[in-house]
Amino acid sequence: MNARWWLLRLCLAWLAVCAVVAVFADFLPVADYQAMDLRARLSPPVGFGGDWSHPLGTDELGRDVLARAIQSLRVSFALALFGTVAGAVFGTTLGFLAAHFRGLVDDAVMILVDIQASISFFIIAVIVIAVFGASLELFIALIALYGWERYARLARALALSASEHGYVEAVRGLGAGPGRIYMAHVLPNAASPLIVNATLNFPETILLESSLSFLGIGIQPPMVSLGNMVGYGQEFLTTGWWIAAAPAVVIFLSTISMGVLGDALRDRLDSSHR
Amino acid sequence: MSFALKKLLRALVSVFAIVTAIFLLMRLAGDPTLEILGPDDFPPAVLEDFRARWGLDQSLWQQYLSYLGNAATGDFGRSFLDQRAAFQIVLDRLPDTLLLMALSLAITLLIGIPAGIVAALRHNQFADAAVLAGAMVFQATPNFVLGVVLIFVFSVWLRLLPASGAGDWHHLILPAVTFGASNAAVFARFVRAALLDVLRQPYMLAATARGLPARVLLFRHALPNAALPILTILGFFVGGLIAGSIVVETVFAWPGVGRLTATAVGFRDLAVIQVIAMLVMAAMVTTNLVVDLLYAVLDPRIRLERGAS
Repeated sequence: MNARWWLLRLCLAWLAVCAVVAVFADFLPVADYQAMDLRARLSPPVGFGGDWSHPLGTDELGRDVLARAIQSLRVSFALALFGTVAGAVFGTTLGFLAAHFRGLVDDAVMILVDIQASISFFIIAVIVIAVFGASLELFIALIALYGWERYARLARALALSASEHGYVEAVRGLGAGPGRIYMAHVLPNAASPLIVNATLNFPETILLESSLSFLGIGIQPPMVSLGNMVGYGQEFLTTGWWIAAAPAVVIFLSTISMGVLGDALRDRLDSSHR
Repeated sequence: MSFALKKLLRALVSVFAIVTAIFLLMRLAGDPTLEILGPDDFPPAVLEDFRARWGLDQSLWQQYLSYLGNAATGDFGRSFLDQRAAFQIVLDRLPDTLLLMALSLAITLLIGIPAGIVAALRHNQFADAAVLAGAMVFQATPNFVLGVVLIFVFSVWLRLLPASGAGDWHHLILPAVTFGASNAAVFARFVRAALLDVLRQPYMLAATARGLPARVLLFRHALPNAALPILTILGFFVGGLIAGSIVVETVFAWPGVGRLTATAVGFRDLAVIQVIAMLVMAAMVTTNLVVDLLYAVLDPRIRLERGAS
C-alpha cells in the first residue's frame, strides 16, 4: 500500500514538472531549440565530459538537447492533450446521439464503432497519411480522432442506463430539452468512467503520435516532437547517445506515470473494477 | 456446418467491402498524376500519356470494374517508384516479415502465458506484483524506444549483436525481442485477468473440494475455461502485430513488409500501399474468421446455439 502510494506521488510529481515546463518553457533559462552552436557539436552532457552551457549535451549541429527535449515535450503533450479532449468530445457526442435517437442512428454509430475497434488505428493512420500525404493538419485530425470509439461506446452505455434512472425522467417532466438533460444531468453522472478512459487514452495518444513521428510521417522537421527526436538520435547512437536518450526517458516516464495515475483513478472512481 | 458457412460468407462480404473502400480512398486522394510527376510543368501530352498508362482517364465506374477484375487476378498495378508489379514487391518481402512475426509471437506466448499464470496463482503476492510491474514498464515503453535502447546496449556498448539489417540469426534477436516484449506484457495481464476470473467460479471451488491436485486443477479445469477470452484477444493481436512490424522493422532496418510500408508511405507509392492495405485487411478478416471457428470448436454452446438459429 505504502509503496503504491509513493509510486503514485512520484508519478504525479513528474507529470506536474512536465506540465510546468511545457507551459513556462519560454521563461526557462535554456537555449533556443533551433540555435546552432557549431563550435560545440556533439558535446556530451554534464557528468560525461560536458559543461553547464549545454546540460544535456548538443546534437550534431550543436543544438541544445535540453532545449530540444523541452520543445518536443511541449509539442507532444499539446498534441496528446488536444487529441484526448477532441476524441472525448467527438466520441461522447456520438454516444449520446446514439442513445438518444436509438434505432437507425444507434445502429449506424455502433457499426462504425465496431469497425473502428476491429482495425488497429495505427494502420488506418498510416494508410490515410500515405494516400493524402503527410501534413500537419491531417496529422492533427488523425490524433484528434484516435480513441473516439471507446468514448462513444462508454457514453452510449452510460446514457442508456441513465435514462432508466428516475432523475432523467424527472428533469424531462420539468420541461428540460435534450441538450439540457445530457449536458447538465447525464454528463456529470457519467463523468467518472469518461475521465478514467481519458487518463488511459492520453499515454496511448503519446505513443501513437511519437511512433508516427519516429517513422517520419508525423511531425516533420524543423518541428520537433519526442518521436522524431528519438528517430534523429538513433543515427547518432555511436557518437552521441544522449540525443536519443533525453526524449526516450521523457516518453517512458510520462507514459508510465499516466498509466499509474489512470489505474489509481480507475480503482478509486470506477466501482465496477473494485 | 451452417455456422461455419455463415461466418465464411460474412468474411467474404467484409473482403469485398474493404476492397471497395480502399479503391474509393485511393481515388479520393485526387488525380495522382500531378502528385507523382511533381510540381514541374510537363507538356499536356505527357500528362495524358501518363493518365492513359495508369487507366486514370476512364470514368470512375470503369476504373472500379477493371480494378475489381485486376484485384481478383492479383494484379494491383505497378509501383510508381520502380515500375515492378506492386504485388510482387510485397510478396518478396513477406517471408522476412512472417519469420520475424512468428518468432516474436513465440516469445510473446512463451513469456506472457507463464507470467500471467504465475501472477494469477500468486494473486496479491510478490510474484503477482512483480509481473504487473514488469508488464507496466514494458507496456509504457513504445517499440521504437525499446529498440533504440537495445541497440545501444547490445550493439553499441557490448558489441554483441548487429544493430540493423538482415543476414544470419544474429540479426533476428534484437527485433524479435523488441517486438515480443511489449506484446508479452499485454498478454501476461490478459492471461492473469482471464485466469483470475475462472478461479473465482464455483466449479473451481467444487473441484478443489474434491481434493484434486493443483496440477489437475490448473490444466484440466482452469486453463481450458480461461482459453476462450484469451482467444478473443488473439484476434486483436494480429492488428497489433502488423502495426508493430512497421515500427520495429524500421528501427532495425529489417527488410520486410513493415519497412516497405514506411518507405512506401514516405514516397507515396500508392500501388504498393494499396497491396499492403489489402494484405493487412485480408489477414485481419482471416484471423477473425479463424477465431470465430475456433470459438465454436472450443465452446459447444456457441456452436449449437448459433447453428440452430
